[in-house]
Amino acid sequence: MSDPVIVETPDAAPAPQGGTSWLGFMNRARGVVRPPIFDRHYYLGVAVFLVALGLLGPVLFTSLSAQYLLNLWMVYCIAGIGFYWVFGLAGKFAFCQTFMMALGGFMSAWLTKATGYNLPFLVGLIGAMVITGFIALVVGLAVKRAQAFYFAIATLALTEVGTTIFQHWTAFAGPNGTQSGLKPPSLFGYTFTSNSKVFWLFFGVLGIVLFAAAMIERSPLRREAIAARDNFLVAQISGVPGFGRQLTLFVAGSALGGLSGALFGHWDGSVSSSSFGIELAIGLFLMLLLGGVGSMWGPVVGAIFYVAIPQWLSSVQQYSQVIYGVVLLVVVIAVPEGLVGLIRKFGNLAMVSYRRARGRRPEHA
Amino acid sequence: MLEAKGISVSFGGVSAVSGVSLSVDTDELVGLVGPNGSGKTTFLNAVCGAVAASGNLRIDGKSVPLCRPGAAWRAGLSRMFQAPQTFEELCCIENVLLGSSEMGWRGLSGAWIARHYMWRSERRRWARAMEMLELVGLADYATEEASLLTYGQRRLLELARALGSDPKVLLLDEPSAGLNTAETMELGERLVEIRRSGVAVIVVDHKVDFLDAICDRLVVLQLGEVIAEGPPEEVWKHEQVVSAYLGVPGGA
Repeated sequence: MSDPVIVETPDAAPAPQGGTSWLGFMNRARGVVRPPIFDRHYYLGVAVFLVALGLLGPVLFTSLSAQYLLNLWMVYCIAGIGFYWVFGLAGKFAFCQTFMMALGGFMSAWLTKATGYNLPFLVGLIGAMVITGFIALVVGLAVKRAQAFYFAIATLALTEVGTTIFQHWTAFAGPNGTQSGLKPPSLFGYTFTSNSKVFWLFFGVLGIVLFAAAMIERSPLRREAIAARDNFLVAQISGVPGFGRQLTLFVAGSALGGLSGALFGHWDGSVSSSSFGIELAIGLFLMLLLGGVGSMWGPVVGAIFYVAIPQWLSSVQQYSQVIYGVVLLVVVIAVPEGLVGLIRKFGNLAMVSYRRARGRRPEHA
Repeated sequence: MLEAKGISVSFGGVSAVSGVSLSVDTDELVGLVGPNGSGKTTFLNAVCGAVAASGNLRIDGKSVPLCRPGAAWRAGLSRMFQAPQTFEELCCIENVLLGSSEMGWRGLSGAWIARHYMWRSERRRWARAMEMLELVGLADYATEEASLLTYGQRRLLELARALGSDPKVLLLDEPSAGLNTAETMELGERLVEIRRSGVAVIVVDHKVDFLDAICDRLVVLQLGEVIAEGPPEEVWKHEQVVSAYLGVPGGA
């Protein structure tokens, strides 16, 4: 056989210069990606966020109802970050996050009630995470082959069946699916009795969860989950264990749902399956879409609106569902990347123009 | 290196590939040709586990189950697709990292617990991925979104990903599609180099000159069956091949 003709070509194509037009500039801004794995800003962001929350939270939210909303927001943040792993990273349309929250609450109640096992609060939390993680593992394996839509239906069915079981299983979920008289959270002999004290408990848990989420953002798991989400077959053929990655994130995210349900139950003193219904399930989607599916901060920002909108609109309470629907529509059409995505886009734009002003290309990792 | 025996694929009642056997040695570059619809791509899909198929597949002497995407990859087979399959949301280097053969600590345990070990293998992965990007000439784009690349660059990115797993067998589906003559020749150079480094390569393509220049052996498929096999110059003289490509003189 003959050797092919050797053609002289430059080793590397010249770097794109990002056109002079404004539109080209936008494209350039979109394209500059720092691979999150080497981005220390994630930890810095979490730290700044926690300091700000710790300093401002107790100062700004002084009234009882404001403290209640702040704590509720933190509970939703925890469930929402779990849901971000399931829906945002793994791309699984899971309708069972609220079921996981309810199950977590009931499990913790069952373990810690004074009339029952009377175990410590911390054991209740761990029990809630273990059981929800386990159920997610079983469900994930059972519907292994279910693709997007079928997975949604399967998890919706799980939620419905679960709610029915909670309604009738008095020994576990109390009469009519309402378990009351949960003991207030207490750690190492200190009992969090008031909303302002519970704030600090939730603050600590949210801090741990945020760092755990930042660790996932800065790990190979993120890119493999995204690859499996965007093109499962190609990812598998290219060597990504796609199913395992998605299952891992589903289990971890569901366990966070259980954790948040248990925290809510001990704080509120009661768990009711009706308060974790389909409305909250859609609410979680809303939080994620509003805040941005592409970032761990999405649910944190989105939950602010989910908690605050009913307050702003208390005079038109009966239309709240309509308003959620409209908000969702507007977000999907106008800002598909969510608020965090929007902020990031402008941040990138600013970064590029800054670097250009200093005559440097974005550095490589 | 790659031994496929009696690979058959059928969609419903239509048999796309029927009993194709093909073996490729290390250090061999085999071209797979045939008219449109002759089952070339389907054969590659069957070998890499993307479609349900029956038959027998051995890679590097080890038996590999069919219909399991990922099984062939673990046995050392990499694949490039006809239309470039890159992940747009990830940056270029992340695309290459996906296929890395350095397996350690990519899951949740690496993210949360064994971060030290995760970083250690991650650094090795990055160094290797960067080498691959340099090899295909995309090093400058390492941290840019894959969606910004042109069609040809995406193909190169996919090639880098396929090579990043240190494959023993490399399947290429129309690598020259959409490339100009100079680029095609450069690709041929690269493929010959890859073959020299001890990789068994199967190329599906329509460009006869390109294949003649680089292939040690051609396999011709028609309607899902092998009709000819041998060195390029012999294959093109084969009666059935001529009729498959050009039609029978005076025929229907």
